[in-house]
Amino acid sequence: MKLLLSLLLLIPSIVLAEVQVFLPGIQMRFQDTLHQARESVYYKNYAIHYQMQSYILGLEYNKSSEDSGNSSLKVESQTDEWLMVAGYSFYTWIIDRSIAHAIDNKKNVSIKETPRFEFFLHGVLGKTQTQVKTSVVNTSSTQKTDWDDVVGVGAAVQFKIGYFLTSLDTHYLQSKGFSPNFVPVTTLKIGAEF
Amino acid sequence: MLKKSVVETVKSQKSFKSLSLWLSLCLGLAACQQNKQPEPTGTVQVQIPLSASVNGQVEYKLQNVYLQKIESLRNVRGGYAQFYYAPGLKNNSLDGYSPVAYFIEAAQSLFVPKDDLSTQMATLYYHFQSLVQFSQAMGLSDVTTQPVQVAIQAKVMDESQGVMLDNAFFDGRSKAFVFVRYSLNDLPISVNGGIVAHEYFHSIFYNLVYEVMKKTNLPVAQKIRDETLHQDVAVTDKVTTQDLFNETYLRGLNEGLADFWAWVYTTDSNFLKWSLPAYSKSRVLNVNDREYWDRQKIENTVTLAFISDENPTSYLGRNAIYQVGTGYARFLKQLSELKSSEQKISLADAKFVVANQLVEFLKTLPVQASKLTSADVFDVTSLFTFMNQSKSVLSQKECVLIKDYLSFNNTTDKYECVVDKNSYKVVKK
Repeated sequence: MKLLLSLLLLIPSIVLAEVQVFLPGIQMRFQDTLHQARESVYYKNYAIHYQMQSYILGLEYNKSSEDSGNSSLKVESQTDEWLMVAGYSFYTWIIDRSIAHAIDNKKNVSIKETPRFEFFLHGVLGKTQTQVKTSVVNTSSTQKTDWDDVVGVGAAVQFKIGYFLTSLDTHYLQSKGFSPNFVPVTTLKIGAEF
Repeated sequence: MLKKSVVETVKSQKSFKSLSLWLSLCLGLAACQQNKQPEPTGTVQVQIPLSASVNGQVEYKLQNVYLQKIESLRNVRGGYAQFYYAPGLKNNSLDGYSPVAYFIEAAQSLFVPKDDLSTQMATLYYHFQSLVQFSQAMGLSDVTTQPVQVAIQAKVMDESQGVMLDNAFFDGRSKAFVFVRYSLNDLPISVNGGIVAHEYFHSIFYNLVYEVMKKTNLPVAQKIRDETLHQDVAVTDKVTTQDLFNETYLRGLNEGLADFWAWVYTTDSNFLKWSLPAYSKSRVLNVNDREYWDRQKIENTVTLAFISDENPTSYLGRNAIYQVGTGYARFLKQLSELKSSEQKISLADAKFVVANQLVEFLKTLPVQASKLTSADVFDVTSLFTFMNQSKSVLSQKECVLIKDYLSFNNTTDKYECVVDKNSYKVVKK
């Protein structure tokens, strides 16, 4: 994990990149819950991305916790997940027609300040771990799983204007640590691009 | 329509390639589903809350135990128990779906329940596994359905037609154990090993006593109609005080002996306090007063039940059943402890001996019932006399214990302990 992080931090120093920093985002997963149903579960998402031309590389941390029971028998489970997202921007829709025409005519125009949507395809790799704390009367025990592999694919659309950035990502993740093993994930986050 | 820009055209070509790559990844990912880890079966180690005796004090701790004969850990289904979530009753069987239990796999293949329902399922499975094995050791292989059918989060109407809460019972019609929703802030009933053992004993009593009495059409059984053991059944106008006496005695015996079974299983003489503290004080078993509800006391209460405004069976359910039973439970607990200390055997062995004798006593109840005429009532001292006449060797202290119980409120008969070969016996003076 540390190696991945250091590699990720090295990249912007060797290539000119745009850094996307996001505020904590809201993530929704459709997964099994303790209510004996498959329903939406909210995760907190923390993300930082580096975009180099059409390519994007991101590091994301997702966290969720769920409590059940009462004061004598309480079970608290927490899921932590680190994901590395690699993406490719395959389409940019510039809302302002005149800017789009200028680009068509090969004029040197900056699109930084113009509102636009950028569409990405993502591949995802990472690790997930679940920790369970069980408390019974006056004693408690904490157990955790190994870091299980996570793989996934997905797509994202980013709306950009100036430094402002908002992103809607949809991923389809797989891990033996998930229930079910395949989980659809949607994340909404806002941030800034430098 | 806006003419497609150069940027878009170039990106469209790129996007075709990337889309192909993306689709390949999707297919690859779908193929990964086959790598799903197989569900553990057979013997599975889990972490559950169990009671443990530490320096004579019982406390609940998390312990690692093995669930055996597991067919599906996802449903905690196996050779010992099968669960139904909020089921209905169809053709005298539980009808519903199996709840899903969630576990994490921690180090050394230890499976830890991820929520309270999963914890309850794993704990119940373990208790039923242990209770079935204990019964099998006593030759009671056929008394309960295997796997044990268990309803959890069951929705059952109570007497006032409200939803029953904080309770559990053995249902004779479906031969299932029913656990309703627990709403208090204490230990849920389904993880209280004492209460699970208490309910398990009801299934033994049902099969060895009520079922036999029903099959033989004994008049007492017809009047008792106690198929759902905790459900008070309205009695008809034709019920006599003798019928009500016998009903009260048998139901009381059933409850009391079930409390003894709970103590045998947990060594917790106050097992109710963890889950139902409001009921625990009157049923605590470490009271060595050598008293019980004699015939006169039961008769008086039955008379009060008849003149009360409510259904006599309900009245007795609230005012007599548990009180009748607790005396017998305390007697058997004292007998086990004396047997352990006097005969220099472990408490576990002593419990096993007394529990075995108890099972033999249960088998005599239908015989006793068959000898009753419509005006007769059960002999409330029959448990004491049975223990006195059993083949088991009695020490002097055990004999005195039985004598004290037989002599309680008994002004007509006088008893003494005499040596009979290598054992003491109580005899009438």
